[in-house]
Amino acid sequence: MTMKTIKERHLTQLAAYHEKLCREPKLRHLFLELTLRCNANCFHCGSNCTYEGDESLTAADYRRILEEVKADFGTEGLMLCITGGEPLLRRDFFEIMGTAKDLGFVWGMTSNATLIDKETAHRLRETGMRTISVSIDGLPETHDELRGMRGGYERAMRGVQNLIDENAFDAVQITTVFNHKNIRELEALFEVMRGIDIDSWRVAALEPIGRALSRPDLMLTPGDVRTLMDFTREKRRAGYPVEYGCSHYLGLGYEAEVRDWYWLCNAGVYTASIMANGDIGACLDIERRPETVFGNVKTDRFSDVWKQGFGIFRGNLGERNETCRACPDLPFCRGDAAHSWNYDKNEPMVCYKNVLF
Amino acid sequence: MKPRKPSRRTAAAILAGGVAASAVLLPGCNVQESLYGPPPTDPGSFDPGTNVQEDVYGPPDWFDASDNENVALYGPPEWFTSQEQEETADAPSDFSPEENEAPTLYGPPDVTKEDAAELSTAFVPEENTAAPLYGPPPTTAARE
Repeated sequence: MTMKTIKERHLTQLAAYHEKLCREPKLRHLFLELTLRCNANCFHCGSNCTYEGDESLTAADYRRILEEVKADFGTEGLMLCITGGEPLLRRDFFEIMGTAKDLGFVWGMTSNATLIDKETAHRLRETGMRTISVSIDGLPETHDELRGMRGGYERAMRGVQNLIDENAFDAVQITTVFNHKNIRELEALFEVMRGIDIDSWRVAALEPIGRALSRPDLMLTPGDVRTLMDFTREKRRAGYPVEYGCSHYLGLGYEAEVRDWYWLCNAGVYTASIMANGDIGACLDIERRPETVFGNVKTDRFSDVWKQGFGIFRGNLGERNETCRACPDLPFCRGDAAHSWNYDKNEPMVCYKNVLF
Repeated sequence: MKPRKPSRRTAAAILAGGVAASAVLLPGCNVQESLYGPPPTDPGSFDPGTNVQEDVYGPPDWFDASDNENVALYGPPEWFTSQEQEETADAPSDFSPEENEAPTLYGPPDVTKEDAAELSTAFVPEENTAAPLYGPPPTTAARE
Protein backbone atom coordinates (compact mmCIF):
# COMPACT_ATOMS: atom_id res chain seq x y z
CA MET A 1 0.00 0.00 0.00
CA THR A 2 1.45 3.40 -0.92
CA MET A 3 1.64 6.35 1.41
CA LYS A 4 -0.53 8.18 -1.09
CA THR A 5 -3.22 5.58 -0.66
CA ILE A 6 -2.94 5.66 3.11
CA LYS A 7 -3.16 9.41 3.26
CA GLU A 8 -6.09 9.53 0.89
CA ARG A 9 -7.88 7.04 3.09
CA HIS A 10 -7.13 9.11 6.19
CA LEU A 11 -8.32 12.28 4.50
CA THR A 12 -11.48 10.54 3.39
CA GLN A 13 -12.07 9.50 6.99
CA LEU A 14 -11.45 13.06 8.09
CA ALA A 15 -13.86 14.42 5.51
CA ALA A 16 -16.57 12.14 6.90
CA TYR A 17 -15.67 13.20 10.41
CA HIS A 18 -15.91 16.86 9.42
CA GLU A 19 -19.43 16.27 8.16
CA LYS A 20 -20.27 14.77 11.52
CA LEU A 21 -18.67 17.73 13.29
CA CYS A 22 -20.80 20.09 11.25
CA ARG A 23 -23.88 18.33 12.62
CA GLU A 24 -22.46 17.90 16.12
CA PRO A 25 -19.86 20.62 16.73
CA LYS A 26 -17.60 20.31 19.78
CA LEU A 27 -16.33 23.43 21.47
CA ARG A 28 -12.63 22.84 22.18
CA HIS A 29 -11.06 26.27 21.82
CA LEU A 30 -12.77 29.42 23.02
CA PHE A 31 -10.79 32.51 22.10
CA LEU A 32 -11.15 35.56 24.29
CA GLU A 33 -9.88 38.68 22.58
CA LEU A 34 -9.37 40.67 25.75
CA THR A 35 -8.37 43.86 24.02
CA LEU A 36 -7.54 45.35 20.65
CA ARG A 37 -4.94 47.59 22.23
CA CYS A 38 -1.35 46.69 21.48
CA ASN A 39 2.05 48.14 22.26
CA ALA A 40 3.41 46.84 18.96
CA ASN A 41 2.40 48.01 15.51
CA CYS A 42 2.79 44.94 13.32
CA PHE A 43 2.36 45.57 9.63
CA HIS A 44 0.66 42.18 9.27
CA CYS A 45 -1.74 42.38 12.21
CA GLY A 46 -4.82 40.39 11.32
CA SER A 47 -6.91 42.28 13.86
CA ASN A 48 -5.88 45.81 12.87
CA CYS A 49 -4.83 46.49 16.46
CA THR A 50 -3.85 49.97 17.54
CA TYR A 51 -2.54 51.72 20.61
CA GLU A 52 -6.10 52.67 21.55
CA GLY A 53 -8.14 49.66 20.47
CA ASP A 54 -11.42 48.42 21.88
CA GLU A 55 -11.73 46.54 25.16
CA SER A 56 -15.29 47.27 26.09
CA LEU A 57 -16.00 44.09 28.11
CA THR A 58 -15.33 44.46 31.81
CA ALA A 59 -13.91 41.93 34.26
CA ALA A 60 -17.46 41.46 35.53
CA ASP A 61 -18.62 40.72 31.99
CA TYR A 62 -15.97 38.04 31.65
CA ARG A 63 -16.95 36.50 34.99
CA ARG A 64 -20.55 36.21 33.82
CA ILE A 65 -19.54 34.84 30.43
CA LEU A 66 -17.19 32.24 31.90
CA GLU A 67 -19.75 31.15 34.48
CA GLU A 68 -22.27 30.63 31.68
CA VAL A 69 -19.77 28.73 29.55
CA LYS A 70 -18.89 26.49 32.47
CA ALA A 71 -22.55 25.83 33.19
CA ASP A 72 -23.36 25.06 29.54
CA PHE A 73 -20.24 23.23 28.39
CA GLY A 74 -18.26 22.30 31.49
CA THR A 75 -14.52 22.86 31.55
CA GLU A 76 -13.23 19.42 30.55
CA GLY A 77 -11.70 19.31 27.10
CA LEU A 78 -12.17 23.02 26.60
CA MET A 79 -9.27 25.44 26.42
CA LEU A 80 -9.49 29.21 26.74
CA CYS A 81 -7.18 30.91 24.25
CA ILE A 82 -6.36 34.39 25.47
CA THR A 83 -5.34 36.88 22.85
CA GLY A 84 -5.60 40.48 21.76
CA GLY A 85 -4.06 42.97 20.97
CA GLU A 86 -1.59 42.43 23.74
CA PRO A 87 -3.59 40.85 26.59
CA LEU A 88 -1.18 42.01 29.26
CA LEU A 89 -2.05 45.62 28.54
CA ARG A 90 -5.32 45.12 30.41
CA ARG A 91 -4.99 46.39 33.94
CA ASP A 92 -7.51 43.79 35.09
CA PHE A 93 -5.81 40.94 33.21
CA PHE A 94 -4.91 38.94 36.31
CA GLU A 95 -8.35 39.49 37.81
CA ILE A 96 -10.00 38.02 34.69
CA MET A 97 -7.63 35.09 34.42
CA GLY A 98 -7.83 34.46 38.16
CA THR A 99 -11.57 34.04 37.65
CA ALA A 100 -10.92 31.58 34.84
CA LYS A 101 -8.58 29.59 37.04
CA ASP A 102 -11.01 29.57 39.96
CA LEU A 103 -13.74 28.27 37.67
CA GLY A 104 -11.47 25.43 36.56
CA PHE A 105 -10.63 26.49 33.02
CA VAL A 106 -7.39 25.51 31.31
CA TRP A 107 -5.96 28.49 29.48
CA GLY A 108 -3.14 29.54 27.22
CA MET A 109 -2.16 32.86 25.73
CA THR A 110 -0.55 34.52 22.75
CA SER A 111 1.59 37.51 23.57
CA ASN A 112 4.43 39.60 22.23
CA ALA A 113 6.11 38.93 25.61
CA THR A 114 7.57 42.42 25.79
CA LEU A 115 5.80 42.99 29.10
CA ILE A 116 6.75 39.69 30.71
CA ASP A 117 9.33 40.40 33.36
CA LYS A 118 10.17 37.84 36.04
CA GLU A 119 7.36 38.96 38.30
CA THR A 120 4.80 38.80 35.49
CA ALA A 121 5.99 35.33 34.48
CA HIS A 122 5.51 34.22 38.07
CA ARG A 123 2.03 35.75 38.24
CA LEU A 124 1.09 33.98 35.00
CA ARG A 125 2.08 30.73 36.66
CA GLU A 126 0.10 31.50 39.78
CA THR A 127 -2.94 32.43 37.72
CA GLY A 128 -2.94 29.05 36.02
CA MET A 129 -1.56 29.75 32.57
CA ARG A 130 -0.55 26.46 30.95
CA THR A 131 0.80 27.40 27.53
CA ILE A 132 2.00 30.49 25.73
CA SER A 133 3.00 31.35 22.21
CA VAL A 134 5.26 34.33 21.66
CA SER A 135 5.72 36.10 18.34
CA ILE A 136 9.23 36.45 16.96
CA ASP A 137 9.17 37.49 13.34
CA GLY A 138 12.82 37.65 12.38
CA LEU A 139 16.32 38.42 13.50
CA PRO A 140 16.51 41.53 15.70
CA GLU A 141 16.52 44.20 13.02
CA THR A 142 13.84 42.49 10.93
CA HIS A 143 11.63 41.70 13.91
CA ASP A 144 11.70 45.28 15.15
CA GLU A 145 10.92 46.62 11.70
CA LEU A 146 8.05 44.22 11.00
CA ARG A 147 6.49 44.75 14.41
CA GLY A 148 7.05 48.47 14.54
CA MET A 149 8.77 48.39 17.88
CA ARG A 150 12.36 49.41 18.43
CA GLY A 151 14.04 47.01 20.83
CA GLY A 152 11.07 44.68 20.53
CA TYR A 153 13.17 41.60 19.75
CA GLU A 154 15.36 41.99 22.79
CA ARG A 155 12.40 42.62 25.06
CA ALA A 156 10.44 39.69 23.63
CA MET A 157 13.34 37.28 23.97
CA ARG A 158 13.91 38.42 27.53
CA GLY A 159 10.24 37.68 28.17
CA VAL A 160 10.63 34.22 26.64
CA GLN A 161 13.60 33.53 28.90
CA ASN A 162 11.63 34.67 31.94
CA LEU A 163 8.88 32.22 31.00
CA ILE A 164 11.40 29.40 30.53
CA ASP A 165 13.07 30.22 33.84
CA GLU A 166 9.73 29.86 35.60
CA ASN A 167 9.87 26.18 34.57
CA ALA A 168 6.17 25.69 35.15
CA PHE A 169 4.32 25.78 31.84
CA ASP A 170 3.21 22.91 29.62
CA ALA A 171 4.55 24.68 26.56
CA VAL A 172 6.50 27.83 25.78
CA GLN A 173 6.28 28.20 22.04
CA ILE A 174 7.57 30.77 19.58
CA THR A 175 5.56 31.59 16.48
CA THR A 176 7.08 33.18 13.42
CA VAL A 177 5.02 34.54 10.55
CA PHE A 178 7.12 34.33 7.42
CA ASN A 179 6.87 36.76 4.53
CA HIS A 180 8.80 37.35 1.33
CA LYS A 181 11.44 39.29 3.26
CA ASN A 182 12.09 37.37 6.45
CA ILE A 183 11.96 33.97 4.69
CA ARG A 184 15.65 34.61 3.97
CA GLU A 185 16.26 34.32 7.69
CA LEU A 186 14.68 30.89 8.00
CA GLU A 187 17.86 28.95 8.70
CA ALA A 188 19.36 31.68 10.87
CA LEU A 189 16.19 31.81 12.95
CA PHE A 190 16.25 28.04 13.29
CA GLU A 191 19.69 28.33 14.87
CA VAL A 192 18.32 30.94 17.26
CA MET A 193 15.44 28.65 18.23
CA ARG A 194 17.79 25.74 18.62
CA GLY A 195 19.77 27.75 21.10
CA ILE A 196 16.95 28.45 23.53
CA ASP A 197 14.92 26.05 25.59
CA ILE A 198 11.51 26.50 24.02
CA ASP A 199 9.16 23.56 23.55
CA SER A 200 8.28 24.16 19.92
CA TRP A 201 8.59 26.59 17.04
CA ARG A 202 5.50 27.24 15.00
CA VAL A 203 6.05 28.68 11.56
CA ALA A 204 3.27 30.28 9.57
CA ALA A 205 2.91 32.09 6.29
CA LEU A 206 1.80 35.69 6.04
CA GLU A 207 -1.91 35.63 5.31
CA PRO A 208 -3.79 38.10 3.12
CA ILE A 209 -5.85 39.44 6.00
CA GLY A 210 -5.94 42.57 8.15
CA ARG A 211 -3.14 45.06 7.63
CA ALA A 212 -1.15 42.59 5.55
CA LEU A 213 -3.55 43.31 2.70
CA SER A 214 -1.74 46.60 2.30
CA ARG A 215 1.61 44.88 1.69
CA PRO A 216 1.22 42.52 -1.27
CA ASP A 217 4.95 42.88 -1.84
CA LEU A 218 5.54 40.84 1.29
CA MET A 219 3.29 37.89 0.43
CA LEU A 220 5.18 34.64 -0.01
CA THR A 221 5.85 33.56 -3.56
CA PRO A 222 5.11 29.97 -4.55
CA GLY A 223 8.83 29.27 -4.26
CA ASP A 224 8.85 30.78 -0.76
CA VAL A 225 5.98 28.52 0.25
CA ARG A 226 7.79 25.43 -0.98
CA THR A 227 10.94 26.54 0.82
CA LEU A 228 9.01 26.89 4.07
CA MET A 229 7.29 23.53 3.71
CA ASP A 230 10.43 21.64 2.72
CA PHE A 231 12.33 23.24 5.56
CA THR A 232 9.66 22.31 8.09
CA ARG A 233 9.41 18.74 6.86
CA GLU A 234 13.17 18.33 6.95
CA LYS A 235 13.49 19.64 10.49
CA ARG A 236 10.64 17.48 11.74
CA ARG A 237 12.23 14.42 10.20
CA ALA A 238 15.37 15.34 12.14
CA GLY A 239 13.23 15.33 15.28
CA TYR A 240 12.93 19.06 15.90
CA PRO A 241 9.57 20.31 17.20
CA VAL A 242 8.95 22.65 14.30
CA GLU A 243 5.39 22.79 13.01
CA TYR A 244 3.47 24.66 10.38
CA GLY A 245 0.39 26.54 11.58
CA CYS A 246 -3.12 25.24 11.09
CA SER A 247 -3.80 27.13 7.87
CA HIS A 248 -4.57 25.55 4.54
CA TYR A 249 -4.75 22.16 2.92
CA LEU A 250 -1.24 21.28 1.75
CA GLY A 251 -1.70 18.21 -0.39
CA LEU A 252 -0.49 14.68 0.12
CA GLY A 253 3.19 15.57 0.03
CA TYR A 254 3.01 17.75 3.12
CA GLU A 255 -0.11 16.79 5.03
CA ALA A 256 0.78 14.91 8.22
CA GLU A 257 4.38 15.93 7.58
CA VAL A 258 4.78 19.58 8.51
CA ARG A 259 2.36 19.25 11.41
CA ASP A 260 1.30 16.32 13.51
CA TRP A 261 -1.99 15.63 11.81
CA TYR A 262 -4.01 16.34 8.74
CA TRP A 263 -5.52 19.72 8.12
CA LEU A 264 -8.95 20.57 9.42
CA CYS A 265 -10.22 24.12 9.68
CA ASN A 266 -11.43 24.39 13.25
CA ALA A 267 -13.59 27.47 12.71
CA GLY A 268 -17.10 27.00 13.99
CA VAL A 269 -16.78 23.28 14.63
CA TYR A 270 -14.07 23.23 17.32
CA THR A 271 -13.35 26.92 17.72
CA ALA A 272 -15.33 30.00 18.66
CA SER A 273 -14.28 33.48 19.68
CA ILE A 274 -15.54 36.34 21.76
CA MET A 275 -14.20 39.54 20.31
CA ALA A 276 -13.11 42.60 22.26
CA ASN A 277 -16.47 44.28 21.64
CA GLY A 278 -18.41 41.19 22.71
CA ASP A 279 -19.20 39.93 19.23
CA ILE A 280 -19.31 36.16 18.83
CA GLY A 281 -17.61 34.56 15.85
CA ALA A 282 -15.52 31.57 14.86
CA CYS A 283 -11.80 32.16 14.31
CA LEU A 284 -10.55 35.67 15.09
CA ASP A 285 -8.69 35.83 11.80
CA ILE A 286 -11.90 35.63 9.81
CA GLU A 287 -13.05 38.91 8.32
CA ARG A 288 -15.63 40.46 10.63
CA ARG A 289 -18.84 41.12 8.75
CA PRO A 290 -22.54 40.42 9.28
CA GLU A 291 -22.45 36.86 7.95
CA THR A 292 -19.48 35.89 10.16
CA VAL A 293 -20.66 37.44 13.43
CA PHE A 294 -23.51 35.54 15.07
CA GLY A 295 -24.33 37.46 18.21
CA ASN A 296 -22.89 39.48 21.08
CA VAL A 297 -22.33 38.37 24.65
CA LYS A 298 -23.83 41.61 25.91
CA THR A 299 -27.22 40.50 24.65
CA ASP A 300 -26.93 36.78 23.86
CA ARG A 301 -25.98 33.72 25.86
CA PHE A 302 -22.90 32.23 24.22
CA SER A 303 -24.21 28.66 24.18
CA ASP A 304 -27.39 29.72 22.38
CA VAL A 305 -25.31 31.30 19.65
CA TRP A 306 -23.02 28.26 19.45
CA LYS A 307 -26.04 26.04 18.90
CA GLN A 308 -27.92 28.25 16.47
CA GLY A 309 -25.28 30.29 14.66
CA PHE A 310 -22.10 29.45 12.76
CA GLY A 311 -24.05 27.92 9.87
CA ILE A 312 -21.69 29.27 7.23
CA PHE A 313 -18.80 27.38 8.86
CA ARG A 314 -20.67 24.13 9.35
CA GLY A 315 -20.53 22.98 5.80
CA ASN A 316 -18.20 23.03 2.85
CA LEU A 317 -17.28 26.57 1.81
CA GLY A 318 -15.90 25.28 -1.45
CA GLU A 319 -19.37 24.22 -2.54
CA ARG A 320 -20.07 27.93 -3.02
CA ASN A 321 -17.50 28.23 -5.77
CA GLU A 322 -17.89 26.75 -9.22
CA THR A 323 -14.18 26.08 -9.72
CA CYS A 324 -13.85 24.47 -6.31
CA ARG A 325 -16.85 22.27 -6.98
CA ALA A 326 -15.10 20.88 -10.04
CA CYS A 327 -11.83 20.28 -8.19
CA PRO A 328 -11.06 16.69 -7.18
CA ASP A 329 -9.39 17.92 -3.97
CA LEU A 330 -12.54 19.62 -2.66
CA PRO A 331 -13.43 16.79 -0.25
CA PHE A 332 -10.06 17.26 1.43
CA CYS A 333 -9.74 21.07 1.41
CA ARG A 334 -13.43 22.00 1.70
CA GLY A 335 -12.66 25.42 0.22
CA ASP A 336 -9.56 25.80 2.40
CA ALA A 337 -9.31 28.00 5.50
CA ALA A 338 -12.29 30.06 6.59
CA HIS A 339 -10.06 33.04 7.38
CA SER A 340 -8.80 33.23 3.81
CA TRP A 341 -12.18 32.84 2.14
CA ASN A 342 -13.31 35.85 0.14
CA TYR A 343 -16.87 36.33 1.35
CA ASP A 344 -17.65 38.90 -1.34
CA LYS A 345 -16.56 36.79 -4.28
CA ASN A 346 -17.16 33.41 -2.64
CA GLU A 347 -13.75 32.08 -3.53
CA PRO A 348 -10.59 31.16 -1.61
CA MET A 349 -7.93 33.85 -1.40
CA VAL A 350 -5.23 31.23 -0.91
CA CYS A 351 -5.05 27.95 -2.78
CA TYR A 352 -1.95 25.77 -2.84
CA LYS A 353 -3.13 23.64 -5.71
CA ASN A 354 -0.37 23.57 -8.32
CA VAL A 355 1.95 25.10 -5.77
CA LEU A 356 2.32 22.22 -3.32
CA PHE A 357 0.23 19.55 -4.97
CA MET B 1 14.54 23.70 21.30
CA LYS B 2 15.97 20.23 21.18
CA PRO B 3 15.28 17.36 18.82
CA ARG B 4 12.94 14.82 20.27
CA LYS B 5 13.13 11.11 20.02
CA PRO B 6 10.46 10.40 17.43
CA SER B 7 7.23 9.31 19.03
CA ARG B 8 5.12 6.63 17.43
CA ARG B 9 3.06 9.29 15.76
CA THR B 10 6.12 11.16 14.56
CA ALA B 11 7.54 7.93 13.26
CA ALA B 12 4.34 7.42 11.35
CA ALA B 13 4.55 10.93 9.97
CA ILE B 14 8.15 10.38 8.97
CA LEU B 15 7.15 7.20 7.28
CA ALA B 16 4.39 8.91 5.42
CA GLY B 17 6.88 11.44 4.11
CA GLY B 18 8.84 9.01 2.08
CA VAL B 19 6.85 7.71 -0.81
CA ALA B 20 4.30 10.47 -0.61
CA ALA B 21 7.04 13.02 -1.16
CA SER B 22 7.34 11.72 -4.67
CA ALA B 23 3.86 13.00 -5.40
CA VAL B 24 5.12 16.57 -5.52
CA LEU B 25 7.68 15.61 -8.11
CA LEU B 26 5.20 14.33 -10.62
CA PRO B 27 5.30 16.50 -13.73
CA GLY B 28 1.55 16.95 -13.72
CA CYS B 29 1.75 18.58 -10.32
CA ASN B 30 4.34 21.03 -11.44
CA VAL B 31 2.52 23.86 -13.13
CA GLN B 32 3.24 27.32 -11.85
CA GLU B 33 0.17 29.24 -10.83
CA SER B 34 -0.74 32.31 -8.91
CA LEU B 35 -0.64 31.56 -5.23
CA TYR B 36 -3.02 34.12 -3.89
CA GLY B 37 -6.22 33.61 -5.73
CA PRO B 38 -8.88 31.08 -6.41
CA PRO B 39 -7.86 27.69 -7.69
CA PRO B 40 -6.95 27.69 -11.34
CA THR B 41 -9.70 26.63 -13.70
CA ASP B 42 -7.19 25.19 -16.11
CA PRO B 43 -3.72 24.78 -14.64
CA GLY B 44 -2.19 24.30 -18.06
CA SER B 45 -3.35 27.66 -19.31
CA PHE B 46 -1.39 29.85 -16.93
CA ASP B 47 0.29 32.67 -18.80
CA PRO B 48 3.04 34.55 -16.94
CA GLY B 49 2.53 37.40 -19.36
CA THR B 50 -0.82 38.22 -17.83
CA ASN B 51 0.51 38.26 -14.29
CA VAL B 52 0.59 41.89 -13.34
CA GLN B 53 2.62 41.28 -10.20
CA GLU B 54 4.84 38.46 -11.24
CA ASP B 55 7.55 39.34 -8.77
CA VAL B 56 5.11 38.65 -6.00
CA TYR B 57 2.55 36.23 -7.33
CA GLY B 58 4.22 34.37 -10.09
CA PRO B 59 7.40 32.81 -11.34
CA PRO B 60 10.46 34.83 -12.29
CA ASP B 61 10.17 36.59 -15.62
CA TRP B 62 12.58 34.22 -17.32
CA PHE B 63 10.40 31.24 -16.59
CA ASP B 64 8.31 29.97 -19.48
CA ALA B 65 5.52 27.78 -18.18
CA SER B 66 5.03 26.23 -21.60
CA ASP B 67 8.63 25.11 -21.90
CA ASN B 68 9.76 23.64 -18.64
CA GLU B 69 13.43 23.06 -19.25
CA ASN B 70 14.58 24.08 -15.83
CA VAL B 71 13.89 20.75 -14.24
CA ALA B 72 16.09 21.49 -11.27
CA LEU B 73 13.61 24.11 -10.18
CA TYR B 74 10.35 23.19 -11.77
CA GLY B 75 10.46 19.51 -12.43
CA PRO B 76 11.76 16.22 -11.21
CA PRO B 77 15.48 15.53 -11.37
CA GLU B 78 16.76 14.27 -14.71
CA TRP B 79 17.52 10.84 -13.38
CA PHE B 80 13.99 10.42 -12.14
CA THR B 81 12.54 8.45 -14.98
CA SER B 82 8.93 7.89 -15.74
CA GLN B 83 9.38 4.23 -14.90
CA GLU B 84 10.56 5.13 -11.41
CA GLN B 85 7.62 7.45 -11.01
CA GLU B 86 5.23 4.65 -11.80
CA GLU B 87 6.97 2.28 -9.46
CA THR B 88 6.90 4.82 -6.66
CA ALA B 89 3.35 5.92 -7.20
CA ASP B 90 2.06 2.41 -7.54
CA ALA B 91 4.10 0.53 -5.04
CA PRO B 92 2.84 -2.98 -4.45
CA SER B 93 0.83 -3.68 -1.37
CA ASP B 94 3.69 -5.65 0.10
CA PHE B 95 6.03 -2.68 -0.23
CA SER B 96 8.86 -2.98 2.22
CA PRO B 97 10.66 0.13 3.46
CA GLU B 98 13.80 -1.92 3.95
CA GLU B 99 13.94 -2.63 0.24
CA ASN B 100 13.73 1.00 -0.73
CA GLU B 101 16.98 1.87 -2.47
CA ALA B 102 16.58 5.63 -2.16
CA PRO B 103 15.12 6.01 1.31
CA THR B 104 16.04 9.62 1.80
CA LEU B 105 14.03 10.64 -1.23
CA TYR B 106 11.33 8.09 -1.68
CA GLY B 107 11.09 6.26 1.53
CA PRO B 108 11.52 6.75 5.20
CA PRO B 109 14.77 5.96 6.92
CA ASP B 110 14.86 3.79 10.01
CA VAL B 111 11.33 2.56 9.96
CA THR B 112 9.95 -0.88 10.12
CA LYS B 113 7.06 -2.74 8.64
CA GLU B 114 5.41 -2.41 12.02
CA ASP B 115 5.58 1.37 11.71
CA ALA B 116 3.97 1.15 8.30
CA ALA B 117 1.22 -1.01 9.70
CA GLU B 118 0.69 1.45 12.51
CA LEU B 119 0.31 4.37 10.16
CA SER B 120 -2.42 2.62 8.29
CA THR B 121 -4.44 1.99 11.42
CA ALA B 122 -3.50 4.74 13.87
CA PHE B 123 -5.48 7.60 12.43
CA VAL B 124 -8.22 8.86 14.73
CA PRO B 125 -10.06 11.86 13.31
CA GLU B 126 -11.25 12.91 16.75
CA GLU B 127 -7.66 13.53 17.76
CA ASN B 128 -7.03 16.00 15.02
CA THR B 129 -6.84 19.02 17.25
CA ALA B 130 -4.39 21.27 15.48
CA ALA B 131 -4.26 24.50 17.39
CA PRO B 132 -5.50 27.58 15.61
CA LEU B 133 -2.92 29.54 13.68
CA TYR B 134 -2.42 32.38 16.09
CA GLY B 135 -3.55 30.69 19.25
CA PRO B 136 -1.46 29.27 22.03
CA PRO B 137 -0.33 25.68 21.81
CA PRO B 138 -2.90 23.20 23.07
CA THR B 139 -2.38 21.35 26.28
CA THR B 140 -2.85 17.68 26.86
CA ALA B 141 -5.48 18.51 29.42
CA ALA B 142 -7.55 20.40 26.90
CA ARG B 143 -7.76 17.34 24.72
CA GLU B 144 -8.76 14.97 27.47
